[in-house]
Amino acid sequence: MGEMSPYEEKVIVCRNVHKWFGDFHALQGVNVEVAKGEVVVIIGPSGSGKSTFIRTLNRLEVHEEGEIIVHGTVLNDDLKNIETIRKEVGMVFQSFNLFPHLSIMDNITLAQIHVRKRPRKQAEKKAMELLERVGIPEQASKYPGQLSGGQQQRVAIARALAMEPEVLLFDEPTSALDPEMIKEVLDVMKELARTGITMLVVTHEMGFAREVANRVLFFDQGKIIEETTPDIFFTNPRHERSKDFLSKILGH
Amino acid sequence: MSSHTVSKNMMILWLRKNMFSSWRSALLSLGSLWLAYLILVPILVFVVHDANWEVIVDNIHLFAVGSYPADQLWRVFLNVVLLMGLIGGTVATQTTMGIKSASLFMLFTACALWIVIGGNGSDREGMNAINHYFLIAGLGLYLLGYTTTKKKAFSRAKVFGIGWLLYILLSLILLSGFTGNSFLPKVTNHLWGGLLLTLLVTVVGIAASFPFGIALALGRKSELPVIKLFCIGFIETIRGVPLITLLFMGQVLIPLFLPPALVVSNLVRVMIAVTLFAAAYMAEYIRGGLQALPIGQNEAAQALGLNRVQTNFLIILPQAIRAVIPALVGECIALFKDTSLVAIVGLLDLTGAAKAAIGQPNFIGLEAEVFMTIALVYWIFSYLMSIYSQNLERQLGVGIR
Ligand SMILES: Nc1ncnc2c1ncn2[C@@H]1O[C@H](COP(=O)(O)OP(=O)(O)O)[C@@H](O)[C@H]1O
Ligand SMILES: [Mg+2]
Repeated sequence: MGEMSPYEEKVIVCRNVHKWFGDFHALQGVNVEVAKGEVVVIIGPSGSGKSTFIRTLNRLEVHEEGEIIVHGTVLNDDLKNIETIRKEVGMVFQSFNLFPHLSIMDNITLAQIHVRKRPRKQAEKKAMELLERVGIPEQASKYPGQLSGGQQQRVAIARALAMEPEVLLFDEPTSALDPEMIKEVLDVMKELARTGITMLVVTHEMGFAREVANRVLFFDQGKIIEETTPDIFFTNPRHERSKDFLSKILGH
Repeated sequence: MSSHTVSKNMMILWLRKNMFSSWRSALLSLGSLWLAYLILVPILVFVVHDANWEVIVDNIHLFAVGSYPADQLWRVFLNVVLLMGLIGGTVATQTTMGIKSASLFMLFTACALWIVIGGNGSDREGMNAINHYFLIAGLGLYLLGYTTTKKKAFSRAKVFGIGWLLYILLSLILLSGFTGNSFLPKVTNHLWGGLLLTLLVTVVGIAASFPFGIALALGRKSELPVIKLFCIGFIETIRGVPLITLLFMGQVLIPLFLPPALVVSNLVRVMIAVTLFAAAYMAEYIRGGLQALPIGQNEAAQALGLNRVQTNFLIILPQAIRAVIPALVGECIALFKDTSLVAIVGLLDLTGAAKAAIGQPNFIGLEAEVFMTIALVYWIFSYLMSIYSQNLERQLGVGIR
């Protein structure tokens, strides 16, 4: 998009990205650019391709057409490139996906040690700093199964941050949580957003979008049909579908 | 009231509550007692009165080590002593195993190994005293292994990956020795036998089939059709054939595959056959564990940048194997008992030794004594493995969703 942007460096560039699941055309030409430090919220009805889209960004899904460039590296079949990109892109899942056989500490140090090749001591120091930051340093020696959902998701965020990624992807990070735990996770994410890390967040938390997003992407049927600031999107959406969606989600 | 009457009252209370709480349970209790009486009394009478245990006492060497030369027995004993230390270390990795059950485990193991050492049955002068020293050394090493593992907090992976592998290599070298060496003269495989052979085939079989089974399980899920087809073909062929057939085929086929210069002994062929057999079953159990894993585990590992090998060995396999440990230990116990089949291809393992003992002219008709004894020995070792497995499960359950 040639829109005016206060940011120079593009961290993610997608041009005409297509993805099929068999006959089903899940992504139908997605074009988007994300600049360094931007917080982009992705919303849209269920099944519109939001998850598929952010999963193509770190190659959990393979796009069949179009171009994806992450931090200057072209995402294609080249394993070296995929490796480079995965080091730069962290991901937080709806279902946390912590490693249940490892302690919280080991969950956070594992990739630091084996991918970033950090010495264990240093990795553990980093892990403790991050656990402090997400507010649960006292849980370090426990196992994921012993933590609440909100705590697990905060560990998952710490685990992703430990790799010092350029971009963090969130796929509905609060959708699997009980209402009383949503806030603790959103608070951590808001704090993160202010530190200047680039974030792409699929979420239905409109409060979060209003408060910290620089931009909102509205997905419908595998396409971005509206792309604007949260202010404009929530007060004056252009598309019928967006209006529909907003009235459903904010209406009741 | 004296403590005697208290405990007597307690017993009556317990009986009333657990065995005679209603007419029906009283009847069942009495019936079961009657049955137990019918079975146990004749056995007891046989064991203490009718049986002729000379067949065991006279053949203790045969049962323990087969035809392993008497003047080289110290090598077996040393082996057993080392094994005790290793078992101590293994038990120490079980944090759920308290001091009480650890010592029970030790006593039980010691008894079992006492049989390998030859009990008191050895009639050679001086051998008895040496046996005792070895046993004491074994108990000492057990404690040493236990305490060092606890103190240094060696992980289970270390104890198994380093300790057991090293032990197996060392014990094979120690037992077979070198031709022309006066300190460790060669003792050919043909002479190995008895419980020693049974345990060797078991331990080597388990140690070799485990990694092989993992490789097959992963291969079966491979995206490369050649590897996948090979693994499926291998697993299904082996599982479709009884072990005994495999043992016979090993006799004929394995020499065909190997260069003529490389003559492998009967024992090695049997070990290969047993390993292949167990590996096919282990592969299927592990595959079950792999399939039970949520896809998110793989995705999280990939998203963190772990490569395929790291993902498999750090994330996927530890969880998959954990999930199927009861089945895997069951397979190990089955393998241990299945080794009795090697007698059919001419090895003198515990069962083979039993058959040989029965065949001796002066012990005609003593089948019951012999088979009761080896049944007890098989049971002791199976039960040890079973205790270990139960503890392992309990411990690995910690922290798992
Ligand atoms: N692995 C898959 N195989 C087949 N269809 C899929 C797969 N993943 C997603 N889809 C389909 O693609 C569409 C978009 O899915 P998704 O990206 O998960 O939607 P969203 O996250 O917006 O709810 C849905 O219709 C879904 O059924
Ligand atoms: Mg989704």
